[in-house]
Amino acid sequence: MDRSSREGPHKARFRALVSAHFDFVWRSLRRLGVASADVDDAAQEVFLVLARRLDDLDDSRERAFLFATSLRVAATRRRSVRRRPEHALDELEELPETGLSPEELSELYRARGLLDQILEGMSLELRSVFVLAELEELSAPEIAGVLEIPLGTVSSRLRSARESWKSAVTRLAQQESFKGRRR
Amino acid sequence: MSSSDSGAPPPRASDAEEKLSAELLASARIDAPGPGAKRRALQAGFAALDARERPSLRPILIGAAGVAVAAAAVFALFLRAPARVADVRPELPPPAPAKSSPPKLEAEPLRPCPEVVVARGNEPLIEDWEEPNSTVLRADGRSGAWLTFDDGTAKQNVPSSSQLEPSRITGGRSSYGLHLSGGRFTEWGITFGTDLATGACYDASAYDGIAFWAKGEVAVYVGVQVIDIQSPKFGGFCSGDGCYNSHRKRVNLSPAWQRHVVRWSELEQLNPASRFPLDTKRIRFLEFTILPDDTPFDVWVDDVSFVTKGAGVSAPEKARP
Repeated sequence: MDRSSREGPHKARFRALVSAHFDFVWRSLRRLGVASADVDDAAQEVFLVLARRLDDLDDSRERAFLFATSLRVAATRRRSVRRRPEHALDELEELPETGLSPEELSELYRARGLLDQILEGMSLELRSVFVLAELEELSAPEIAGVLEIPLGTVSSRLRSARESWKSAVTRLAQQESFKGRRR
Repeated sequence: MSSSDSGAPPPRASDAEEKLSAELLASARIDAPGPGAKRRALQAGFAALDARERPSLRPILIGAAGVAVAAAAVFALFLRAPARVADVRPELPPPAPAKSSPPKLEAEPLRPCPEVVVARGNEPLIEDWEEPNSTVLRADGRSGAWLTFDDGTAKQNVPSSSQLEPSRITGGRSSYGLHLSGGRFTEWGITFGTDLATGACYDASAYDGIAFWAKGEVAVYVGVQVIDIQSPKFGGFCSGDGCYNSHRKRVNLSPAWQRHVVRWSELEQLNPASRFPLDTKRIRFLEFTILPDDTPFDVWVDDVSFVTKGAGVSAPEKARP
């Protein structure tokens, strides 16, 4: 007897959804502003909601449901002000193997912190569209499907998000250039 | 090596911006779950599914055992008064009145909770803060995170809207607890607490109230928010004066650790204009509130639990030496 027969249809479906979407949910939560130390818990929370709502969920809405739930969970958690510094050394040590030197890794974390800083300046609506387009590399129709909004709304939000991104990067580049001149 | 070191002309602003933009976006590649995160989510989901599916096995087993055995089993179950099994389900609206029944002057029926997590009543400990995180202990279907909010007129040791993490108790009754302190607030004060089932109502009717250990020289209002007093912005049903008129009880703390027990029957809403009976099947948030008159404050809380049915403590219990 295979595992799915032993588990029953609910567990088999749940296992398949975790397998297919866990990384997407985890990344989405992180990029929607959940602090790195809290993302595992937040992802578990999203999948607990999924387990409870499994019967109500249409196959075609699974990813949309997971992203919408991630948005709700992130909205609660992103308000959290962390009481220990982000990207502390213990987290660096837990990094998956990247093949980078400690200096390169440190630079990568610094960039990741700046990315968070810019994304924090966007509303959750713009941030969702931007993350799905620029980091998950979904097409506009795919984003419309995940967010369950019209394609035109995706385009206008993406335009606003990219403008916001561009001006933030310009400001940052000026600051970096200023720091470079002072060194 | 920088461009000025190499003697090459400095990059144009737009090139530098594009490079920075690409670097920042590429840095997101480090976003990946740690080992075991997926497995833990799978296990937690399976546990939730098990809890949901368990009741449906009972009739099948009873049916297979035949009439005589079933009768004996039912009798045995009756004698043992079995514990309720955790369940998750939508709350159904009340049945429509029969057409022939006379019209009655009754309050408008409550809107059903979109989703209800039903407590079995056999795992009362809500939080002991012995694990270094802000999430509520996962027991009896519970999920949520400890948070604090304030009116912004003064400062707390933890900023408003933050998650609360455990603080070390020195010379106390356990290793960690929750510690909050703050200045003089002047509008509505501060509230801290936790969701009991994220995004859902928590049916705590299998329990009889809330118990907790605390110390401090102020009073706290201990109570619950049902879905009917929460803002529609957060999935609730409230409007006007009815919003956040929690069911609660004032508890005077003392400078030494004491255990306090608050029964559901003791909770009441402060605003008389929008009172309604507490329905413990519709709880969304467990709260501790300190009103402006009781600020500034410095409180410790530990071992928050539900009161199991039939437990007989009502007076504060002092800490054991």
